[in-house]
Amino acid sequence: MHIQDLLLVNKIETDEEEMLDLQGKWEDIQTKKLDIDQAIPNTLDVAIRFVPTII
Amino acid sequence: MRDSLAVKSISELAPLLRTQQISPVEVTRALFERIHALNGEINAYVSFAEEQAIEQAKEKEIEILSGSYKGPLHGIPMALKDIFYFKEENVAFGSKIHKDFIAPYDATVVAKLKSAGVIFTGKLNMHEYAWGGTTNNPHFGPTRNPWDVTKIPGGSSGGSGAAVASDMTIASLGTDTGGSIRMPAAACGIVGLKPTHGRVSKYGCFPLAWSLDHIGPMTKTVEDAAILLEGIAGYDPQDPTSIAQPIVPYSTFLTGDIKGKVVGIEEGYFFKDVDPKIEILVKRAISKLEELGAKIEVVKLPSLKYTEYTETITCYAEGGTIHSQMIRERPQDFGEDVRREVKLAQCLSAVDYLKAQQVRQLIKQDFERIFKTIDILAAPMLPILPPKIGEKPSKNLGVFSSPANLTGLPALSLPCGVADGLPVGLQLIGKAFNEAEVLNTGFAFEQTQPMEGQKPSLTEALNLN
Repeated sequence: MHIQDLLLVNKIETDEEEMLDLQGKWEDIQTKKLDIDQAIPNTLDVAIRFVPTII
Repeated sequence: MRDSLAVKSISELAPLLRTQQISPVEVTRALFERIHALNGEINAYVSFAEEQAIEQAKEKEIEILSGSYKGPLHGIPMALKDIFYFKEENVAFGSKIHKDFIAPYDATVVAKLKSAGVIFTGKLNMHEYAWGGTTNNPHFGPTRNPWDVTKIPGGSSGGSGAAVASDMTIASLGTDTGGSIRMPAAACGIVGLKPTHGRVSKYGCFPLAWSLDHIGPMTKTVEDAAILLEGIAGYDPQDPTSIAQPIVPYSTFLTGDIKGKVVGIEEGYFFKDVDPKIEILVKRAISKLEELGAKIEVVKLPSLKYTEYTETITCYAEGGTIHSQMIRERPQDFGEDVRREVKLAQCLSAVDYLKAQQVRQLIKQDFERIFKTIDILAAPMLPILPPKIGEKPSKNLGVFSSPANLTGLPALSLPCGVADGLPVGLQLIGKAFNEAEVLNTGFAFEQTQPMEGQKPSLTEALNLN
């Protein structure tokens, strides 16, 4: 989903300049997210071993 | 005499106050002379209350004279970051939205300092809602670095860093979500300690991201950081993240003896793309630790390459939740940079956040592994020297500080030299709840006097020392 659509869905208004900045930041996050997906594939093993700490 | 009192540390003032050689009123007046002379230029204070502070000082004077000396914080004047609740006082968190907010109660750290006999001189500037590392605040103006007023003091606790460095407060408290105590400590040439997550109660402190937030001392010396930590640490049932762990008298552990201790150095992340001038000073500091008897061991932390993403997503998700109502109702009242961060934060998914928490476990496990063989990890604090005010930093300023936020481990920043007229910070990270070891290692290094003869240029220019 594009950042424009996500902002719209979330009822966040932006002007054009702000949108350009947010788009750049969003793309940067998505690039890094790909690295994470490769580092920790979404397997059952990961889901069991890397449970976020509760206490 | 008065000016010389303002430049002193807690550990220098406390015995003079205890033995009644000086009065808390004298120290407070000396500080206000300094504040009046310097704050117009540095803009570290957003508000100060001279009359009330003098009144408090007179009360402390009577208490001490009557033989009710409470300890090393009794009669010490101090200003705190404008993020802590003071009962029935205005606290704005660096924001326009909360500019008229009156706190309903004292934050736990404020209550602890009050009962220890601290005198409060005012509130210190910060990055809006602590969401940023420059303290270029659109509502209260930028805080300027006392070493070079064209440069940022770091942030978000930049007012605290600048006020301690310019002797406008004897010590202070900051908050640290991605480095906001340690970054301004490094940029301003002072000591900043982020304790273990859960060690210091956050009750009554406006949150940025609850799983990353910490409160800690910002001081002139390592010994002062130990004294101040003793004053604020402890379990608090009112803070759900508080952890009941024994408190030790940290200042009594400062022997300076680090013989046989193992200091780790990791180069794949912590020295990657660091300014060479910073690298030289930090590596020189590590060599000093070796000369003092520590053993240096090279370690690897491969998962650190995911730090930036994990920290960003965690901060966005938690911080974005806290501001989710205001960003829809009053977006125009946020400063430009924070408004954009909060807007972007609204777009993350639950899966993004929880995936980041899984990666966070991976990073935690990496640190647990290395701390089986080392006692302390030594690293640079900032990747670059403080940039100019208004200039976008060429690198993520929090790149070296955020691992300790994600893992919750205690981390200290202390000055290790000066490059291009600006101070450089050495970071020491320790095992969970072992602040005593971190502080003692810092204390040992501090005894080698890496900052001898170095002072902020502004205070020199005004001939106030």
